Amino acid sequence: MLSTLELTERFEDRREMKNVMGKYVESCLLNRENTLVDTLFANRDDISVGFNNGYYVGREAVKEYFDAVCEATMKKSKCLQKIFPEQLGKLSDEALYGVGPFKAEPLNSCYIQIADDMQTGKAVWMIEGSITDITTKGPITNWAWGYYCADFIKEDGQMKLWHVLRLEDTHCPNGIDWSMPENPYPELPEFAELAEIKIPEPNHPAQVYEHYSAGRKNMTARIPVPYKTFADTFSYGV
Amino acid sequence: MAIDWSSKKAPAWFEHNIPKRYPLPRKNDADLIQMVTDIEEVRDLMSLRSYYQAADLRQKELDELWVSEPLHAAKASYGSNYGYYYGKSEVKRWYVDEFTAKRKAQLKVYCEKNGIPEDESLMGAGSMYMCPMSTSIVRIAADGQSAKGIWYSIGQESDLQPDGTAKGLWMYCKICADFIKEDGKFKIYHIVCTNDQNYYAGTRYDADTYLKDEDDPMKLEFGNPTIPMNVHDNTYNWADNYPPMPEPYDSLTLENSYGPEGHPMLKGGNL
Repeated sequence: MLSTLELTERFEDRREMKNVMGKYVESCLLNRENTLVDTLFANRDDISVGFNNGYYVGREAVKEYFDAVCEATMKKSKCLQKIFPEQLGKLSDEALYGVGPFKAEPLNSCYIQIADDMQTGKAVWMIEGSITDITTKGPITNWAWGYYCADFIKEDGQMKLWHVLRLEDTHCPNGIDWSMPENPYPELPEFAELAEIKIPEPNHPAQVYEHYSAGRKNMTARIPVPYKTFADTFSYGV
Repeated sequence: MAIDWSSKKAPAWFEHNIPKRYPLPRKNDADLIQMVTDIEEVRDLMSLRSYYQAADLRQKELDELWVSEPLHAAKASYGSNYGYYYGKSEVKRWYVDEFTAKRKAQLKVYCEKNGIPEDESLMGAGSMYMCPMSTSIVRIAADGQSAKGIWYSIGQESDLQPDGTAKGLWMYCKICADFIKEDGKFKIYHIVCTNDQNYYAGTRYDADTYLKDEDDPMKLEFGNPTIPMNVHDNTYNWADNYPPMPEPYDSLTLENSYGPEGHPMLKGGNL
């Protein structure tokens, strides 16, 4: 039986974890991925961010990845500026930044486990996201079904991100059945320069998760289970 | 109601819209934190259920998350637009057994298509099910022994078809549930998962492609409920306000529950 104080602390930790992850997806929506490491992650070197195709492990690799995403956003905005000079031509780089990409990933089905020692926490969310990207085929909006999973670690009394894992079941243009994904749109010459965008590959490449298809095995995110200390449970990192 | 902005003063009628503040019936700190902990427990429970569903762990869901005391189990129910499965064994008959039969048929297709021997560890291959839970309102009974909640879920079911292809289905559902404490833990007692609209991925949901009753995959999948009845009419998205949002309440009775006893057409024993 937990005391009133312990229950209150657990509630505070849960609230903090939800808020931190809310800030994470909100920052992605605002194309401010380059602020995530310094504001939401723990101040340690073994942080990681994982995706279907592998993990970025270590503070430097995670920063490098997020910085590259923001550089890509700038290139996409500048590409649109050339195409729409009347609407965007006079904007400074600062005002222009972020025009184009739109990543809405509302968090649902929040499920949290906090360690008995209250030094770490684990959580998983389902996402049904709408992700608009500016591609060599022009702007394309996709349905993205999947999961956000995260390990949190307490630092100075606050829950901070330790390992984030974004698993994606579908990334399929709107209006198309995601069970037979195809991108029917043609390459457009005015967007050809976007082919130059390079995002660094994960420094721990691995097939972590597969996109859904009729040939895929049944897979979902791993669900946190009650645990005493982090050593007793699995990690959403490598 | 036009406002004269040049006057720099709020109009007189505006003042009347300021809500009157009443002192809350404050509980002590221990009661308050217990209530918010209970609310979080109920939210976690329904989230966990959505992960069990996504992983096809339906028997585990019934075993771990639903009521098990005989008196509760006898009156547990699962409702949808088309009726209720009444009693936990009836819920299992449809929710677990019929679903497992569907997955076994899909496994046969999957293995034939991929030229591999049938292996039950591959159950669920080629399919996907997600009902993300959002927009919750949770009420804990004043007696602390039960809870009621409502969620909205824009979900999807993607199924392997007999020809080896797959097909995605959007499902817009209001999910309401009663929870009752067994051994100090909230357990699912009644669920009503009503569908507002469903349509195949990649199609429009306007009248041209509106799913007719006989083609409605959710209706077909709901099988033969114990109590067949029109629980929620979603024709043309009519809003019949069932199941309704939970209101503050003292203690759970079947008549104020999300079980069939609480449905407006059956309430009070009247037909």
